[in-house]
Amino acid sequence: MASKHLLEVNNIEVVYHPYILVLKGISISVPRNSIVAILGPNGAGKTTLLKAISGLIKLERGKVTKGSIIFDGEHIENMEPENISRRGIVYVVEGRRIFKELTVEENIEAVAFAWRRSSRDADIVYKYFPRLKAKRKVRAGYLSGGEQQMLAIGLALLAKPKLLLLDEPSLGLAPKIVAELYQNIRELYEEEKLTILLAEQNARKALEIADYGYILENGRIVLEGPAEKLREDKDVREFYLGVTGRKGYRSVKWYRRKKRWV
Amino acid sequence: MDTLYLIANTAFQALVMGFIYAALALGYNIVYRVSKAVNLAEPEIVVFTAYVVFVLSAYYHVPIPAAFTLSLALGFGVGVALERLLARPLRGRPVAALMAATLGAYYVLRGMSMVVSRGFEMGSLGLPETYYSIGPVRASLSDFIAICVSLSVIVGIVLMHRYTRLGIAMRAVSEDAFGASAYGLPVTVLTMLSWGIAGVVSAAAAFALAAKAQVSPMLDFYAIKALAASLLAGLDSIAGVVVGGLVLGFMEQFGSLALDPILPGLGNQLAFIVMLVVLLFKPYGLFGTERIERV
Ligand SMILES: Nc1ncnc2c1ncn2[C@@H]1O[C@H](COP(=O)(O)OP(=O)(O)OP(=O)(O)O)[C@@H](O)[C@H]1O
Ligand SMILES: [Mg+2]
Repeated sequence: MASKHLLEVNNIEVVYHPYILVLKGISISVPRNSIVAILGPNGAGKTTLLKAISGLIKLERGKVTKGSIIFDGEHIENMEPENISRRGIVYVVEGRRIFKELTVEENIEAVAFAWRRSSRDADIVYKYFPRLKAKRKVRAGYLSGGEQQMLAIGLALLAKPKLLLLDEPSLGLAPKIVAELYQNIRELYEEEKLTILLAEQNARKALEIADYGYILENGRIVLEGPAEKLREDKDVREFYLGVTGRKGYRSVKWYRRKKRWV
Repeated sequence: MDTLYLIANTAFQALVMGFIYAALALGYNIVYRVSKAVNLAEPEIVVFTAYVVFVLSAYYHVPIPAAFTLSLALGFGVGVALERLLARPLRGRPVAALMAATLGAYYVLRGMSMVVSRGFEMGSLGLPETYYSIGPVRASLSDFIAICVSLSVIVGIVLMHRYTRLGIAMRAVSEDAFGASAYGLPVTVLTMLSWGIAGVVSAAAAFALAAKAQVSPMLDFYAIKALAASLLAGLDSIAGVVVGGLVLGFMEQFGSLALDPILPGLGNQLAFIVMLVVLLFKPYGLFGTERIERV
C-alpha cells in the first residue's frame, strides 16, 4: 500500500516516564521527496516528536500512549529503535552528536559497518562535505562546530535514509556557517532525492528550504501551512522571523503571554 | 648475589601475574564500556571455565588445547547469556540494579562450578614441569603459557578495537549508545557481542591462572583483585589494563616480599588498598576517558 505520504503521524500523545505528558495530540504528514519543518521555541516538543518517530524515546523510557505513526504504510509507534532505523529512518540528533572520541574516518567506518557500506560508498560524505576530507584522521571532538554538524549529517547519508530526521542543525553555529550548512542540505536533498523532517528554532532558515511547516508550541501544533504561506504570515513574521522590532524568538515569552494562537 | 636472584625472580613473577591481572581486568572493562556496570559474575566465570578445562583434561583425557578451546566457547556463551538475561532487561535502569543482578549470577555460576567440579575437587592442569633459565630468572613452561595466553588476548582485543569495523562500531556504542542507535548501529547485538567477548577474555585469563595456580574455587579471588587493575586503568580503558595489571602485579609481589616478614599476608591484600586509593583520588583511573569538550 503506497500512501501518498511517506510518514503520517496521527494525533499522538507522548509521555516520558512516569507521567510527563509532552506531546498532546500531534498530527503531521511528510510527503515523499519533500522537506517538512517543525518550528517552535525551546521545550515545545520538537525533539520529543523526532525521538518518538525514530523510537529512541524508548531509551529514555518514554512512549507513545495514543495515536499512531505510520511509515511507508506500516505502524511503527513504540517499535524498537533498531527496527525503525532498519526501515530507513535515520535521526541526526540535536547537539551534533557524533562520536567525539573517534576520528572522522572512524565515525564513517562505524556507521558504514551498521549499513554494510563499502569504503567507496563512504565517499558520499566527502562528496558533500569536502572539508572533512582533510580532517579524516582528526578526532571528531576537535572539529569545529560546523564541521561536526557536517559530519553528523554526512554519517546519516551513509545509510541512504528513506526519511532523514534533522534536529536543529543550526544550533550554536555562526550565521555564515548556518548558511553554508543549509546550502549543503538543500543540495543533498535535491541530488539524493531525500525526504527530510527538520526541527528548528531558526524559522527563517528552515522556511527557506522547507516545503511545508508546522509550528509547535507547548506540545501542540498551533499553526501549519506551506512554507511560503508561513513566511508571509503576519504572526510568524512577527514572532519567529523577527521582522517587526527585530525581537526574534526571544520575544516568545511575551508572545506567550498574549496567547494569540492558543 | 642472592638478592639479585630474588629481585629478578620476583620481578618476573610480577610480570607474569601482571599480565594475568591485565587480562582479567580487560574482562571487566569490555563489559563496563557497553553496560556501564561492573560484571560481578566475572570471578565465577573464571572459576567455572578453569574447572571445565581441568575436569575435561583430568577426568576425560581431553587434550588441553581442545579443552581450552571449549572453555573459551563456554565463556562466550555465559557472557551472552548474562547480557540477554540481565543486562538487556535492566537497560535504562540504575546500574546498581545490573550490578546486583551480576552478583546473583555469581552464585548461580558458583553452583554450576560445583556441579562440574564434583564438589570442588582441586587439582592442577598437569602441564609439563619444564624449567628454563634466562640469566638469573628461573621460568617455567606455565609462566610462558600464562604470559602468551593473556598477552595475545589483550593484543587481539586492542587491535580489534583499533582496526576492525566491528571494533570501531563497538567503540562508538561505548561512547554514546543513544547516538549510535540514532545512526542505525545494531546496539543490542554489539552489546551482546561485547559481553560474549568479555566472557572469552575471562576464560582465557582463567586458563592462564590455572597454568600458574592450583585449580580451586579460590581462583575467583584473583579476579576480584584484578578489579583494582581495572579501576587503576580506568574502567572504560582497553590498552590501559596492561599498565593497571602490571602495577598491581609488581605491588603485590614486591609488597609481599617486603611486608610478609612483618605482617604476613598483607601483600596479598594490597590490591584492595589500591582500589580504595584509586576510588578516592582518581575515580576515572589513569586512562579513563577524558571526554573531549570543546569550549
Ligand atoms: N527524557 C525526558 N524526560 C522527561 N521530560 C523530558 C525529557 N526530554 C524532554 N523532556 C521535556 O519535554 C519537553 C519538550 O522537550 P523537547 O526537547 O522535545 O523540546 P524542543 O522543542 O526540542 O526544545 P529545544 O528547542 O530546546 O530543543 C520539555 O519540557 C522537556 O523538559
Ligand atoms: Mg530540541
